[in-house]
Parts: sequence; C-alpha cells; structure tokens
Amino acid sequence: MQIDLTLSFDQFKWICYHKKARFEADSLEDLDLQIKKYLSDTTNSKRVEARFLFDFDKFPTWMRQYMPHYFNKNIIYNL
Amino acid sequence: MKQLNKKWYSGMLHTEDWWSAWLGLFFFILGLLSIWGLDAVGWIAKPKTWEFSLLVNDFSWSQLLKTSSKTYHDLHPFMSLMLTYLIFLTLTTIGAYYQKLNVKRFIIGFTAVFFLTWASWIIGHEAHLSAVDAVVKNHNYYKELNLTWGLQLGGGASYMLALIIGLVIGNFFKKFAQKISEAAKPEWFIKTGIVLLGIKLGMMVLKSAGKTFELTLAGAAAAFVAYLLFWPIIYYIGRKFFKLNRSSAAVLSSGISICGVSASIATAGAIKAKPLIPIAVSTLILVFAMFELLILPPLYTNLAPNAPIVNGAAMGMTVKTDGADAAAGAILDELMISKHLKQTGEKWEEGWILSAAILTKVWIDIFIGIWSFVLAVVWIKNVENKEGKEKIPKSEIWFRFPKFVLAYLLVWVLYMLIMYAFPDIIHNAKIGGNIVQGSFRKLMFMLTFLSIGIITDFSKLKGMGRLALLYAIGLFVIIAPIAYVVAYLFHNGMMPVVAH
Repeated sequence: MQIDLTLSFDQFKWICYHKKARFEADSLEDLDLQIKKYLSDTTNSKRVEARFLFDFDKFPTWMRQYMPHYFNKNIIYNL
Repeated sequence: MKQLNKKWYSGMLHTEDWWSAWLGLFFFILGLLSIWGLDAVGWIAKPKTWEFSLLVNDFSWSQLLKTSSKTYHDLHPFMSLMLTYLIFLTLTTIGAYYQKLNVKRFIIGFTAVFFLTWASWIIGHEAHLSAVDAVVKNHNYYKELNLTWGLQLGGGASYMLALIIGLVIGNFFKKFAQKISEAAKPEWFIKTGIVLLGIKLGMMVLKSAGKTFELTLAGAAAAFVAYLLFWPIIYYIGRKFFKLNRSSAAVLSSGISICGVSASIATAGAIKAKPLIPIAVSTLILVFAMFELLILPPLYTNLAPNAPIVNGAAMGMTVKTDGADAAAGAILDELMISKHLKQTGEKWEEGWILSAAILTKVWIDIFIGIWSFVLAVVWIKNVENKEGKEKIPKSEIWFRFPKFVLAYLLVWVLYMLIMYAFPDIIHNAKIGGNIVQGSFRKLMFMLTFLSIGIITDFSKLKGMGRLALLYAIGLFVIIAPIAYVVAYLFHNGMMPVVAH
C-alpha cells in the first residue's frame, strides 16, 4: 500500500497531514511514530510506503527564488 | 496554495528558476530572428555617454539614450525606453502571475524598480563617472568632451550606483522597500541574464574555442577542489570552536562555502533540519554577500590588475548567491577593463572576466543537488541511524538542480552549433545575438543590482552573534584566501581576448 502525505512546519513544530488525519510533533522521529501508530490502527496492510512531500509554500516568499525545493522522503512502515 | 514537488515537471510554471529559463530562451529566440533579416530586438533602449553641462545647456533625450540597432533609429529615444518598459513589464508580469505573486503589487514594484534602475544606468553614464581616457572604437570620450577630471569607472559606475541606490532604499526607506519588494527579484533577473550570457559564451567559442573550453574546464576543476576544501574546514570550526549543533554547522558550512542561500536550503532539506535554521542562515548570507560585493571587486582590481581571469574565478568561488556573484563579476569586469585600458591603451573584450566568475558559480550550482543527495544518504546512515527504513528519492537531485543552468548551456551549445553548421549566417545571427547578450543582458544585470540592494537589510545582523562571527571568520580568513589560491592554480596565465 502507498500513501501520500504533505509535510509542513510551523515555527518549531513539524506538521504532517492528508485528507483524513493531521499530525504534529517536535521532531520527525516523533512524527514517524505517530504516523506508524495511525497506520497500524487504520489499515490492514503489513507494509505501507509513505511518500512525504514538503509543502514549500510555507517558506518565506523572498527565499523561494534561491531554491524551490526543501525535501521529499519515502518511508516504508512494516506494521 | 500548496507548492509540492511531486512530478519531474513540477514547478515548470511557478518557480523563478524555470521562469529565468523561459524568459532567457524567449529573448534568445527573438534575437535569432535576425538570421532571416527580422530585427525583433533592436527597439530596446541603451544608455549613451553624456556630459552634465552639455545636457543642462541643451536637454534632449537623444543625448542620454538610443535604440540598440539602427533599424529603429526613427523611434524617439524616450519612446524606446517606454517600449522597453512595456515589453519587460508584460513579460515579467506573466511570469509573476504564474509564480502566484501578487500581480498588482508586482506591477507597482516593477515600475519603481525599472525606472530607478534606468535612472541609475543613465546617471552612471555621465562622462565624469564613466569615460576612460583612451581610444575605444575610434572614440576617446574623455578627450572629446574636454573633461578636466573623471573617475574613469567605465560601465562599473552604473552598476555601483544602482547597488548604492538599492541599499539606501532597503536600509533607510524600509516602507518603500516593502512596497516594491514583490518585484525585487535579484535571482530571477540574474538567472535570466546568465541564460543570455550563454550567447556570449557561444561567441567566445567562435573567437577562441581553446580559451573558452579551457576557462570552462578550469572553472569546473577549481570549483570542485575548492568545494572539497571549504565544507569540512568550516564544519570542523563550527563544531569544535563555536559549539554549533550538527544541523546548524552543516547548513552554515554549505551556506558559506558553496552557493549561499540555495546551498543552505538544499543542505537543510537534505539533513531535514528545521526550516528555521536555513531561514536564519540565509539572512546572514544575504547581508555578507553585500559586503563581498562591495569590497572584493575594487580590492582584486587594485591588488592584481594583471590577473583578470584569476580574479574572476576567485570571485565566483568567494561571493555567495548567484545574484551577488554575477553582480561582483560584472563590476570586476568593468573595473578591470577600464583600469587596463587606462594603463595600457589596450581594451580587453568585455565578458571574459564575468564569464570566469559565472562559470565557477554555475558548476557549484550543479554540484548542489548531487552534494545534497550524498549528504542526505550519509546523514541517514551515520547520524539518524535509519538505514533500511527511509529512502531518499533520486528525484531529489532533479528538484534541486538549477534549471536556468540547463537553459544557459542550451543557449551556448545551440548558438555554437548554428554558427559552426551555417557559417554563412554568422553575420546576420550576430546582429540579434549581440543585442540580446548586450542590451537585454545588461538590463537584467542592472535590475539585479538595484533589487539586491533593496532586499538587503543590514539591521538583520543584530542578534546573529556566534553565527555572524563564524561567517565573517570563515569567509574572509578561510574561503577568500583559499579560493584565490585555487583560482590561481587553475587559471594562472589565462587572459581575456583583446577587443578590436
């Protein structure tokens, strides 16, 4: 199973969301744990590939002209 | 509105980087129409050398401006300026619309930036500032205008004036700066200018293929060597003496040693640092880039007047951000050509010193994506210990790759191929090509000078403490000297072509 999530930030917090859920954490590790738990609770799949796409819109406008990409990452959760 | 990089073509319509490529390629194609006898670019206004007392006694726009080609000699110089404004406003506004900028604010901002730029450009062409006491193209304006004194700065006078006006606005008229900031886009303007410089590189190959390729390869090698030296040294000093955490040290190392803001964002993304880190580091980079831009061109011109290409390459490796580097390269180009002309009566062809500065920077830009990918893999395996769980998509290299560089290389190669494959059309092709790489490119550079000043606010250095100190030490004690030695090793003995 594959799932796409949008990654963003607000001051010191990482934020992650998709249509049905939203997660917040101080670190990406904590965010991973929350998502893993959510997937365990809501899917029957044993293996989920999550694609995290960073929303660059949250970067200050003046900075976007220098580099239009922060990062995307893929994580495989073995549930 | 979300801005996600999901597919390989994501961002083609809404990033400044891609819009530099589109705008540059559009101007390039317009210029090529001269092959078929159609002059679609000669309408663009061009400043002339003028003298203050003559203008005051008998004002006319034709003393200040002219069209870029004789095809449009019937067009009044002021109308040529207005036409230039309307065409550039229309094209950049289309870009601004697709980039989701506030179109109304952009139009107001661009109008202010455009006319302030032209005011600087025209004033900078006053003979006491620009005219050099030497014969150029059968004219010695210094003697013809009976000047008793002059700064003899050549085109550098306009560049420096635009920069100073921009800085004054950015630091003393902050509300006005805020109002026009939507259109103060130095990276967009300079990247477009660099794409157009691809034509110049094509022309340089025709004049001296060996020198041009030597310059390109030396730039790549020097950038690569410098790159491998800078990063670990700054990272080590940041960790050991300034006690920075791993993320801050890595982001700052990339910012100081590679390519400023782009590299700090790319590195922060690669190691998944909190976005606040690259935002803080980027502010620092922009302010320091301004110091580099103001200090280094006159310093190198006076310290090493006989090493123009070495100076240019060193500039490319030292000055951070494409905008500031190209601006510094352009000032250095003008100052060194004027100094050499004044001292020897020989005029170096313009663009060679600037190209040395740009070529090292372009290679560094290309390396950013690859370096960030390597760093991301190293970070996951050695710092985060997440081997086997998290994957870095290879598309990350593409998303971080500077697209304007593709357009720059495309323009260079296309222009070169056309010239070699069809030697009969060289004369016609050069008519449009010279105007696009001349008047169009210089306008993009001038817009950059003013814009970079507008967005630089020195007061943002307050509270930067340790980071600012490390940046200053890193830049002036480590980066600048090493860059100069590396530039010397790879470029020593290379000289620009003499203009005829």
